[in-house]
Amino acid sequence: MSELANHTKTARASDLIERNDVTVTNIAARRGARASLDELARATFGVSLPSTPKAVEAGGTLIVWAGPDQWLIIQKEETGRDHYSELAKTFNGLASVIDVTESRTIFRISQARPSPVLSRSMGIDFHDAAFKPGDVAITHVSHLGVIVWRLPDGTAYDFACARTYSRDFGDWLRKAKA
Amino acid sequence: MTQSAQTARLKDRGLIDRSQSLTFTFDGVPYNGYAGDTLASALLANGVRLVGRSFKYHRPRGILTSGSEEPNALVELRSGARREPNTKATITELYDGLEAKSQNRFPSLSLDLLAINGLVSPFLSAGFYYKTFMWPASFWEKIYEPMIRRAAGLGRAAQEHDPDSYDKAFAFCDVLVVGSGPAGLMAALTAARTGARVILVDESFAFGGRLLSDVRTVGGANGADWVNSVVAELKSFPGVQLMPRTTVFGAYDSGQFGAVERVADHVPVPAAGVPRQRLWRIVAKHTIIAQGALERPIVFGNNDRPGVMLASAVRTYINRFGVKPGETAVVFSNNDDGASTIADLVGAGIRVAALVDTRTVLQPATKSFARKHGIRIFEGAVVADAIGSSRVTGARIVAADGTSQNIACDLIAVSGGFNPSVQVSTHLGGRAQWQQELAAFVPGALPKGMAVSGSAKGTFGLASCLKEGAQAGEAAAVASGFQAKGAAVPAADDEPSDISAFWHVKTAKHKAFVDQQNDVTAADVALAEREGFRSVEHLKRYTTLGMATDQGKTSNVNGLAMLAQLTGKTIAATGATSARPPYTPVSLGALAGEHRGKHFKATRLTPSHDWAKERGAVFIETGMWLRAQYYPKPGENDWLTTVCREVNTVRNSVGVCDVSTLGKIEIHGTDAGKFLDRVYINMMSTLGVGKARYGMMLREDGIAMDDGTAARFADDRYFITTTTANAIKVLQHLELCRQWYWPDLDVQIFPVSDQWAQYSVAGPRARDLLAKIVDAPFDISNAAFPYMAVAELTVMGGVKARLYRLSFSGEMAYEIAVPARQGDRLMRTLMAKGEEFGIAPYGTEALGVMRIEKGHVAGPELNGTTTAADLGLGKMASTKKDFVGRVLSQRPGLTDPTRPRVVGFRPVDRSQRLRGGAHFIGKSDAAVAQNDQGYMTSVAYSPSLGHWIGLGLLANAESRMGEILRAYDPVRNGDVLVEVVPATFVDVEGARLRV
Amino acid sequence: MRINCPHCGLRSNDEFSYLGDASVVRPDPAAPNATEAFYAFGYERANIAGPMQELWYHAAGCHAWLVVTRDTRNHEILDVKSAQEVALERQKAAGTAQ
Repeated sequence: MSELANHTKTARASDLIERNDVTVTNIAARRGARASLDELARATFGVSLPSTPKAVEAGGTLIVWAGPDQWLIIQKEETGRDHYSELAKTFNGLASVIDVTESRTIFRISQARPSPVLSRSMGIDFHDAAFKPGDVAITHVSHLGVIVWRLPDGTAYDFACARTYSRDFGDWLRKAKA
Repeated sequence: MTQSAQTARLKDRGLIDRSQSLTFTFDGVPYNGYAGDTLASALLANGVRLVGRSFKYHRPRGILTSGSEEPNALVELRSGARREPNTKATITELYDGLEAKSQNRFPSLSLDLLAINGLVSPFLSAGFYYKTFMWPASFWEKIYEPMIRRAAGLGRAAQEHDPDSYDKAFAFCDVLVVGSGPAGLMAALTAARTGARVILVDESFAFGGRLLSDVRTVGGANGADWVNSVVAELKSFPGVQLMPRTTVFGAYDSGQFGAVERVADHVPVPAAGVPRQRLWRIVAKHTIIAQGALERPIVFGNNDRPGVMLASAVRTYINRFGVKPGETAVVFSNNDDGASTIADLVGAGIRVAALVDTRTVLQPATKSFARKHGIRIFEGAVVADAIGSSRVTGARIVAADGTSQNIACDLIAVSGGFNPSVQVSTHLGGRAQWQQELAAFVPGALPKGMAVSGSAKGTFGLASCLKEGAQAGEAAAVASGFQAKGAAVPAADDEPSDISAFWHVKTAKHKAFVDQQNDVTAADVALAEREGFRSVEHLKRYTTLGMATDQGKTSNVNGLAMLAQLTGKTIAATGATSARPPYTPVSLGALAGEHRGKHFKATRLTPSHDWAKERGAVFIETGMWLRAQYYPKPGENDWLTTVCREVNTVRNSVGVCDVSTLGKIEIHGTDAGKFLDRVYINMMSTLGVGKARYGMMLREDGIAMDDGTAARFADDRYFITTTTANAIKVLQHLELCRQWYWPDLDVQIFPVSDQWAQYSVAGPRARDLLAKIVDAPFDISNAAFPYMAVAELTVMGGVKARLYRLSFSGEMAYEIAVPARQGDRLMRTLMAKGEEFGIAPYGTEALGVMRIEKGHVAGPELNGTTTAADLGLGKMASTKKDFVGRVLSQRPGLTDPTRPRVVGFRPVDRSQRLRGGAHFIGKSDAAVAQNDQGYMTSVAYSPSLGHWIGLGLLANAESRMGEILRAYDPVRNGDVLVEVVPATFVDVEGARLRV
Repeated sequence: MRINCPHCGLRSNDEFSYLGDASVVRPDPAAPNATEAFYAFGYERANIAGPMQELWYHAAGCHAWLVVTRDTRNHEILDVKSAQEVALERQKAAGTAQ
């Protein structure tokens, strides 16, 4: 089920798309295990888990800060692979791991720089110098919770909102990307 | 249409665009104006002086000012659904097709029958509401109020829905500059040159402030040209946002400002997709308030007659709009503004009959200028009264020696000095301070990050304003981390600004208005003082001085100065009323933004919402959710028929209900069990893996907070549910417990409500149905998967799922959860596979009926006043551990055995209907509050029993089984005899759960 | 009001919800005077004019509880700390990890 495909005719024709081809795993460090978890993450992904609101790219995997000692691991869906189970196994004992692929709808606006409308749309300063590639913000839009990040390569903004709100959020986003 | 006369248009002046002629109507009469006009300037150009009637006395009123402080020239703009009352003609930008009507007149502007209010004015004096209409009290609503509303008041709001859209927006900057006069422009320019992000806001459609209205030279150029060059330079910086037609209406904490941008108020109908107005929240590191100063009138007799105008407004109409505000002027001032005004009047070819100044000695230059142009000079004199009934025809001047004479004129330009605009800079509580030498209030202590610059601060000279603005702009940029570039301040002169405070002409013979918008006179102020309303705040409330759409911008200071004279106190000791947002009125549309109609709030839809819609479900809003309430079949014409069928299907075969709205939270970590022991009243650490348990949480004060189930999937992995309504509250509470109460526990909390689509499959055939969709080798038999078992499994050929053997209905039942995007498919599959059992989907109504039949508590019982014991769950509380709410739940008041507790009820006459909210009263007791023993919390028609049943809170409930009581419901004329029964109505032993 | 969340940065107060005085600490439920102590914990509050330590929850952000020092007279935010860090330090100081 695609929120955009079902409710707009131009879902993929525009620079606003819904990302349906990823799995999202939420990991949270166990108490006292932050350092060893990071060590393991570096061994696994080749990068550190960001300790500030940042998103880092690691060989096709995007690691998004999601609160203190919490991250979203966003991976491309692959047939025959269970990303969640693999991560749960990898981080067993050092992190709590849950599959949240279905928790949020992720919309993407492909804009290298924020449009004027996007810039004024949220209580987050989207100015190019203030919200840089790789920056993350957990915030809300008209009372709808959202995690927004700018891709580390600067090509797009992703908005992850609770799935059950995503029709309203999609409506809002279509306006905001204009 | 023929070119209308515009008889009062000056040929060679003004910043209007004469190549763009615009047509508009006022009270149905067509007129022409030009692009760049306001409605007020265009009306004046056409010789229209009378534009409205006053609030209380229906006196004729004209145009006093040229800005947003206007008390008189309020009109209804547009018509039909777009009709907007109390629009200030002085700031309404003229557009082609503009339609305006005068307000508060009956039947017409020139003939107003209610002007008779002026004759009965002794009854309408200060405090008249409180005195005249006190008795008899019953008259207030029926007679007095409608009468007053008919006679008094301002414009009429539109009755239809507003057809326009409104937008909300956010902006961020290093330096916010409010106001674009000389100080504001220099501040913005200086800050912009350092590379800072600058926002420049002005309420007008043109930047420049007084530089557009006065004939001044800046840096060798004409003021208006200099403004254009600065605006052009500002536009060249990518970090500068210019916001004309925008009013900063309020200052809020931490550098936040509210502003309204009138995006499309200057066109008849906004273009497609363009909002009418946009509400901005501006977040600024530093702010420079440069809103200038507003001229104040002097209070004299008939000072409200059309033709009495502020001197600065006279100059604005001449210089900015190229309009003659009159043919023959008398200028009345107590400061050097009078001299500037006679110069501009003469320059525009308007005859000046006299300059009347309260000061005893005027500048020699002023006097020689006057002599040269035949202007009579009155030093130490006053204009005591304006002469004329519907417009000014002369001025009665009382000279220094007390002699009085009338001089013919049609314009009285008045200046009582200037009030710096201290509103926004004092919104956060800094009290304005009186400066005697300026005869003005200036800003007090400023909030962090705010500076005030130019005449808003009491700095009245042009050169000083430019310099001060440049300094403020640089300081703000530097404080934001930018390098100073050294500000070059253009050359200009400081105009003379000598003043001698003067407020009120006591020799006036006629009504002298302090507050023209509220019709508050000098006599009202004196009356209020005599009656003891001697604080400015009391004066304001008693007389209404300073209220309404102009918030007393032209009247407050005069009013309090007059009060000070009456009480013999200084103005400093008298003080000023507090200014609060908004600075100027903000439309409700702008405040609502897009949150109206179906967008009033967000809607949450469950994963199988589309299926339910196809199925013809009737939906109900519960919180943000839209939930299926019941699923009518063709031919079922009332909800009860449908709900009874749904209940019967569950009790006899199998039904499915979407319970995805339940709050769902994962609790992980090695201390998860210990943590749950501390937040639930019952023990959760002893729960076996693969099992679930009902649980209840209390607030720390011992009152029940929420109930739900906890399931354990691994030693360190629990999953709990909350009620739909409390999902967010419970999460917040658990985070408080985790982070603040017990920060050392190894617990991680994940809200996962949206991850899972969850369905209750209930009824004797539930297992048969589920057996068809669970993947092998999962064993769903009762032995392998008994009541309260839970498991992770796959269904429908590989879909990850969770199965919980829980029952809310009292039947053998399961809850099955699949990832949200599989919800729609699961629902359709269950319906298809359940066809052979006669499956029915059921909604929240049937769910509610069955829970009442089983005596399960829900929202009406978990109402924030009940304890676990009140709910019949007291025995669940563990005595082996502490938990949130335990200590205070043992307070005597909460353990009192006579507290109302949940118990069941049925009507003695089984055919009678029960009503929620009915109060219990002894069978033979009178229906009075003292006899109240509790009330009915939930009722339902039980299809299983064939009569109405209820749950209720009743004092001493346990000992009263079988007692007959009255269930008294005066609101719906209900008075039913009910019998107290146990709270479980169906399958009392709970046998069906475990089969 | 803007609150500088130590995790997320400066955000407007509409992202936060307020609980109250952060200087009161949940008492020891096993203490002999637990009832009185919990009563005070639940109900007794000073009405502070000036800097006050308060618990705020970053509800629309990172879900962290924060100890915010706010001047109640002018809403100036003087300090913001992670409540969990504050609580851990308090436990360490008292030697009362549970």
